[in-house]
Order: sequence, then structure tokens, then C-alpha cells
Amino acid sequence: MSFFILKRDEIEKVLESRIQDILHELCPPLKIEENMPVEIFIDTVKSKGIDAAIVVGRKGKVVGIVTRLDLLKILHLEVPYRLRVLAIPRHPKVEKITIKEIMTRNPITLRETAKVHDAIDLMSKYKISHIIIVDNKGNPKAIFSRRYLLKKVFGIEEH
Amino acid sequence: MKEALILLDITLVLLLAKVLEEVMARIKQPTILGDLLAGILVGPTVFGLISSVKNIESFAWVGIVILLFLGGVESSISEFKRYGVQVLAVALGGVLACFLLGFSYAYMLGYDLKTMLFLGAILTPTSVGVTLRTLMDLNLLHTKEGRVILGAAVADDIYGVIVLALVYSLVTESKVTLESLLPIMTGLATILTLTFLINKFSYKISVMLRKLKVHESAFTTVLIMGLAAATLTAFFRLSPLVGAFFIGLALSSIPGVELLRERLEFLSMIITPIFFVYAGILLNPWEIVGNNSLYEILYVGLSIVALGVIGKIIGCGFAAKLSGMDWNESLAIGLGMMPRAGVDLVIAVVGLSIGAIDQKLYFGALLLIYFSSLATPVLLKRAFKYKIGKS
Repeated sequence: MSFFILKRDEIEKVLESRIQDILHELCPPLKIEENMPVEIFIDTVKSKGIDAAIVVGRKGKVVGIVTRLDLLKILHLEVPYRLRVLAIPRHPKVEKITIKEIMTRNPITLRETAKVHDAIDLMSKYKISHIIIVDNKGNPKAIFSRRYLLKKVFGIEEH
Repeated sequence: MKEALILLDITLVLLLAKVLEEVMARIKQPTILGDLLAGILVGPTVFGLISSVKNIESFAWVGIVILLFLGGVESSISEFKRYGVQVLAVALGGVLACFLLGFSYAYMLGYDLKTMLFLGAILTPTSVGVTLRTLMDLNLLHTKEGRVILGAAVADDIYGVIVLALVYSLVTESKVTLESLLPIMTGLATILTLTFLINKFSYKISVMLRKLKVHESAFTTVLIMGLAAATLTAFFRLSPLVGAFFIGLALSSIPGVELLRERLEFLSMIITPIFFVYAGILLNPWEIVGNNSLYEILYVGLSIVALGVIGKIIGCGFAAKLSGMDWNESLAIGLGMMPRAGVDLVIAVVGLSIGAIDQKLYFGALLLIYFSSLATPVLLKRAFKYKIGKS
């Protein structure tokens, strides 16, 4: 019995395919600005079921990525390692926290001409769950995620 | 047998450091106080258990280079733009006042120029972990004062590294001439050029890093870059710690480096405490007890503590007042910026190792760390009474 919903050669094909060919299957890139209150992101996650958004700067270039799990950072203030005495909670008022404070800066991006196995390789190297796919000018096109892979290969869907 | 002794020393140092770190964390004190205490206990001050300081010296220096490198990676260039002029002024006020007080005090005691420079430098940095913890307990972390202190502490790190760079170069040169300054200038220019190049080619570097095949090689490459930059700055007669910090700062702009930070923190958690234990081991009060009376040692030590405290209260407090805060807020900020437990210790160890300061002043520097960490929570609670009363 196979765990996969795809046959062996089909999996090979997925791994070898170029990301630009599967762009339509990926999450469309939700772009947000870094000064946006985190509350709005929470609402979007709830209403649209997305699990990550691309944070763009003034010129539309990628400056960060924010995922659902980053929301948990609201419970913790990330003080620099050398200043740490104990964990410090963030401001109790969620509406005052902006995306900038919880996002990952300078995220990993991958050109759309790369192959799926390149993305998987990067995910394992950097232990990340999302990769921003960009065109040759650096504009974000989609987010490639573990969630997509789980669905594609095992048929596992997150609710 | 030699390797067994090296292992024994390292095991002893790590074991005691981690046990005392745990104790400090439980009484809400910075873990570095535990590391230092471990060093004082195993060193000549109390038990003298270490077979040879040389066994841990190399680990200690690698540890502190990694911490400074991590410090650079954790601070981003854009972060400094976020904090306003007020924050930069508060930090600078404290740095200037403390430097002048330390410098003048060493002059009054009859020390030479290099000691004056080093004592001034030792008093300048701040480490606000204890303040943050206290403000959190009082539920005041998110007040204007809390934000200014947190921001100023980040700016303070940069000032501290710059002060170390300047003082180290001035002291290691026997005569300050244009010729002797040339390698230092070249060193600074090299670091700036490297920073510029890393920023310019950050995407290319990130692509190169991700192409590496060996497990965790992106992390090791970044680490090697930090060590290499530290070595390069040392070659130009700047302190290697300065190179590590600034290359870390430059590398923080590379895509993906933030993700490697966790590994760097993990490594630092193991190896950096060795430096702070080493700092404790270097204290040897018995060396000076013969030549000085206990009264004199205590007098100098307590004077350094007083100057360190007054310098921050006056320097940071006045800067805060000038930038538009009221007297109560300014005093609270001055007190909040008082704790020491980081770059100051690094400067003190560097000073001791190149003979710029003696055991008496070193004792004062350690006393300041303990006093300021223990006193800050008590004093801050009193200073913030105006706010607690209001709420």
C-alpha cells in the first residue's frame, strides 16, 4: 500500500517540474505592508484561510514574510539574545503590534524558473515552511509552502 | 594526561556556569552574573580549581567573537533608522558622561593615559536585561520610558563597540603618529568596503550559500565569514571583536541569515559562557592585597561603582530631559540605563589582558556589574512611583 496519492513517476514529475508551471496551484501572493496592524492579518487568516503573506516595501520589493505561526510571537517579545533575562511578553494590546514586529526579515526567495526539488531542498536546509517565488525582476509571484506539498503528494488537507 | 586536564577544566567551567546561570534565571538576574560567579569560584579568588587558564583561553576568545558577531547579526541597519534621535541622544549622553568620569578618575588616581582611556571605556556600555525584566514586572515596559530605554540599549551596543575600537587602537600604539594610524585607517576602510560589498551582493551571496551541498554548510560559511573578518581586523591592529560585530551587521541583510541566527544562538549559548567564566577567573584579588590595604581596594572599587551609576543617571537623564521629557521620566531613564553586564566586561578583559588596567580597577568593573544588576530593580521601582501611583 502506498502512502502517496501519486504514482512514483508522477512524484518524480512533480519534483522535476518548474515552479512557473505550477504557479496556478500555489497560494496567490497576499502582499501586505510592514506597518499594517497585525489585527488585519489575523482577520485575513481567519476569513481567507491563508497561512502566509508577503511583506513588501515601498517599491513593491519583498522585505519579509509573515506566517500564521509568527502570530505566536505576539505572546513573546524577541529581545536580542544577549539582553535576555527571561521571556518578555509583548504589548498586551494586539492592535498596537505591526507586521514588522513579527515578520521574518530578508526571507528566502526563489526564481520561478527553479524546480520543485530546489524549493524542497531550501526548505530542509533552512528549516522553513514557506518560500517566496519571484520573477526575474524580484517581484513576488506566489508562496510555495509545505502545506501545498502535503496536499499534492499525500492528499493531506489542512482545515 | 594533558588532554584529560583540558577536558576537566572545560567540563568544570561549563557545569558550574550552567548551574549558576539557572540559579540567576530563577532569581530574575542576568545569567552572565552566574557565569562570572562560576569563574570567581573556580579561579584563584576562591578555590583555584583550574589547572591552567590557557586551557580555556582560546575557547573564551572564540566565544566572545561569536557573541559579538551574533550581536551584529541581531541588529539590523534599518533598525537604527526606526529609533529616533531621542534614543540615540540618550545613549550618547550616558556614553560621554561615563567616559569622562572614568577618564578623570583614573587621572586622579595617577594612572597613565592608556589606563584613563580604558577606565573611561569600561564605564560606557549598558546592558538593560535587568531593566526590561523590572519594567515588565511593573507592567511599564510599553511606556514611553520603556521604549526609549530599549532603543537606547541597542544604540549603546554600537557605541560600546566603537569606543572599544578607538581605545584599543590608541592604547596598542606606543606613539600615535600619522604612520601608526595608517593600518588602523586601512582596517576601518576595509571593514566598511566589505560591509558595502556584502550589502550590494547580498542576493548573490545568498544564492551561493544555498547551492552548498554539505549539511549545515550555509551556517558554517557565515560563521567562517565572521571569524575571518575578526581576524582581518586584528591584522590591521583593530580589536577583532569590532570586525566580528560589523560583519555580523552587514551579513544581517542577506536573505536567509535571520534563519541561521538560531544556530548561531545555540552555538553561542554553549561557548560564550566560557568567556564570562574566564573573566571571573582573571580576577585575582590576592595579587593586590599585599601591596594595597583592603580599605584602598574597596575604596577604588566602590568609587568605580558610584561613577558608573552617576554617569548614566546624569548623562542619560540630562539627554532625556533635553529631548523633552520631564524630570521624573528622565531620572527613570537614567536609572534604567545603569546596569552593566556585557560589552563593559569585554572591554575590561581586553584591558586587563593587554596590561592597560590592573586588578584593582578590574575588581571595580566586576563590582559595578553585580551592584548595578542588583540595585536597578529596587531603584527603578522607587523612581517609577509617579507612574505606579497614577495607574
